[in-house]
Amino acid sequence: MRSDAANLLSRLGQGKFKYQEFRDNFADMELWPLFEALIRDPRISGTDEDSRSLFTDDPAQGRDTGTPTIPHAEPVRVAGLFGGYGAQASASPPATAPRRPQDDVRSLLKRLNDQVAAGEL
Amino acid sequence: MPLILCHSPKGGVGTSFIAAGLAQGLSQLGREVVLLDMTAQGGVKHYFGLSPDHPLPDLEDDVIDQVAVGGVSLRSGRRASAQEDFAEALRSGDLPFDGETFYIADVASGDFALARLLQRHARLHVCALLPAAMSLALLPQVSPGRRLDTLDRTVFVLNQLDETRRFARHAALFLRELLGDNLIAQIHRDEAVNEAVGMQQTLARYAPASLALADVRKLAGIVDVLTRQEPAVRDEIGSDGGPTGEGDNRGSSSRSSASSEAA
Repeated sequence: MRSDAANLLSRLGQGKFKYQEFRDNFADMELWPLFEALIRDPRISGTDEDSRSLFTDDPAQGRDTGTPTIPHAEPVRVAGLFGGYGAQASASPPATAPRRPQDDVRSLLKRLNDQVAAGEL
Repeated sequence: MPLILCHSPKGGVGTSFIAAGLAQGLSQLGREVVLLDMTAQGGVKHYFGLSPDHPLPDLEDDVIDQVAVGGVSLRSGRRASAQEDFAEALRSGDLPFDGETFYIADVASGDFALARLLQRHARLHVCALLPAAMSLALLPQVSPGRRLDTLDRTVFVLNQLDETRRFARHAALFLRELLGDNLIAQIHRDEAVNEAVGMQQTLARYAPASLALADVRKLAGIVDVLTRQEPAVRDEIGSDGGPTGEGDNRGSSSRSSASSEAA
């Protein structure tokens, strides 16, 4: 910390800075396609049964094949905030039932907004 | 076996800083801590005020000239991990990952094989993230096939959070939802971290009022609790802490601590 900042804090009787909080209106939040892609990624949503973890045993890559690996969990039912995405992904694959990504993200943002308004976030 | 693995699939996210901060924070809590630098770069020592040419004793050496800073013993595990019998030594317990001593392993992002090996023996895997697009984009590589908020022994730390940046704010909100209780802490971006390295001092000495220092100390407290909880106990705490998902054994205590960081 610079000496002038330290002196100022000392005079104010503070030990550290209090950072200003910047809040967003979720309804106006940027619709980042990356967020949408992550929510839909079966490796994250838990619907990809064939995928392998960095930390699961892979004889082709691993150094150690003699110890038990962390078992993959059964694909879990996606619940909560992202439940809509998971339910849709398992019930209606994109190839047969195209979804509207922007609507999905807007739904997510609305729910975030509601949670903030309710003091849950 | 309180081995804590610090590894992220993305490089440059501050994994070494978090490993160093965890070690210093746990030491401050009175724990005996050994920090293992498993990287080829050997950079973690810079967070302890050491010079670039300061060698660290190897993990397997009989240490006479021990390097210890602020109660943290620093060792290089690079040579040991490159040996063919490293995996067997881990399995047989030849390596001293037991007792009350915390062993914190700083593993390079690209060394997936070593990370995978150590993760099997680790009590906790701490994965650093940045509120940046490239860091988020690699999230699916952490544990494909499992929801990230249901992982049992992997937790996430959002590092270098700067709430004046739009994407960072959005990413922090998104990650809180995606990772749930497994996002255990946020560490604010603080230039004092960089300056401390430049001054060849620890962050605690150079900038005791650093916000990043306060954040990382809270992280150490959370990790201290998590590593001492048996899974069953953690499950109980999780059920008391609200609507946690199956397999989510992060407790309400960690959640509340992490939430205070989010302010």
